[in-house]
Amino acid sequence: LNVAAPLRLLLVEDEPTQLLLTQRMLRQGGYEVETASDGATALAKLATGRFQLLVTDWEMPGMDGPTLCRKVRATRLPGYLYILLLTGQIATRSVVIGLEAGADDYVRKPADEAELLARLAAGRRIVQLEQSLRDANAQIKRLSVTDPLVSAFNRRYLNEQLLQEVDLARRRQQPLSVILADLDYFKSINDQYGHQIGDEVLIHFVAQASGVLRDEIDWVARFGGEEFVVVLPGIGLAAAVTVAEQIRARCANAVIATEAGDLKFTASFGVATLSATRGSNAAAATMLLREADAALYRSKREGRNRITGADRL
Amino acid sequence: MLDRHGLGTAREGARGANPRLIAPALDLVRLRATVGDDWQFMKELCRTFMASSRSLLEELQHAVSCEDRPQVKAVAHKLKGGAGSVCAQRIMDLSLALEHTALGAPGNELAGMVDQIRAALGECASVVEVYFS
Repeated sequence: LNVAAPLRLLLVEDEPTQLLLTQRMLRQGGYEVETASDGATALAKLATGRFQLLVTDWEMPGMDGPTLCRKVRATRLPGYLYILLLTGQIATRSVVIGLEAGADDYVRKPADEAELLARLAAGRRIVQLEQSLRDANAQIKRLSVTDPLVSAFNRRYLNEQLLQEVDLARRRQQPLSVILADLDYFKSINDQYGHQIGDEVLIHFVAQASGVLRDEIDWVARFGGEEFVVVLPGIGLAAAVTVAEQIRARCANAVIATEAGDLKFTASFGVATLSATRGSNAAAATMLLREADAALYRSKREGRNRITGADRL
Repeated sequence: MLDRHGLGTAREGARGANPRLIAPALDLVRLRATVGDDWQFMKELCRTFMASSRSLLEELQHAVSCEDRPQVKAVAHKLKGGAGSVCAQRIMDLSLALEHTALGAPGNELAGMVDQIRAALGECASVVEVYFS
């Protein structure tokens, strides 16, 4: 949420004159305003998750303001929605009903422009604070599962997410493949060019691998050191071998410019597909990685810069 | 004429009288103080109110003739809100009274109040016609 950007506000009012007047006040107050003339239309618009603020009339045909508040609070929205009730009700009991229904604040009608905007400014602060907390949480979560050097997922994410992938593949009865990759002669690279260049090679590998993967479906995790796991949901062994070949070729053809001259590197790959239909997901995931590791070992033994599928073991 | 249309000081000379009777039909001075010197917007707002309130008046008439008192109360409330937005004080006062008495007053009294609202609305229409045509 850009602090400078106008907040999106939904104004719900069934009386056209009040709608026009309030809408103008809110726009002059710097809000991006959309309108709805009844609760059902408002709920449909709010479900899009585009709004941060809701200003609603109390008395409306069909669904009144407090009912709308209750329904909104029962709806799962991407962020906090600050609700301000406009009410002609002057009894304290009515105000309590509105607040208990989920409204954050209220303004008595006819709304005074300065008061309405001041109360919404308080709402804006709450919305922005909640958004910054959510951003911080998301950032913490991202950091907790990301390798700080190469920006691929880390071992913790691999351990947790691979189980989920195995579970999903089994339930959907779809294939699931993994590619285990190991950079060839990585120790020599570190020794000859230094660790900083070694780090660049690791980053480069992830970039090359990511370049052939499907967005939001396939993913790469750093297994440890110079070893990586590529997870390919819905992909069988033959197709996974093809993906591995694309990564291998991209790595072999890439040139990394260093102060000590151009650097080329290769990697070896082992590919395996989920086969265990019985046993726990954890056991199946372990087996999958073990088969990929055995295939990788064979690639290393047979000369490196090559791919071995688990069917050749 | 300005006094009659709420552009002068009509209230000052009417101390002690029934406020419903002397409240201007449409107080353009107050409306201008509320929305600023945006003549175009005042015009749009008043025209929106006229269109909306004519329709609400028909709903009121129907609800009164059907003795649908909760509906009379609801429509009077809505009319009051619209009238408040354009500073149509007399309609606002009458609607408020109608809203408060809708559930208990005799039917002919409600019908009389609707007639008064209709008359006040007619005056508003004249003001709108004069200033915004």
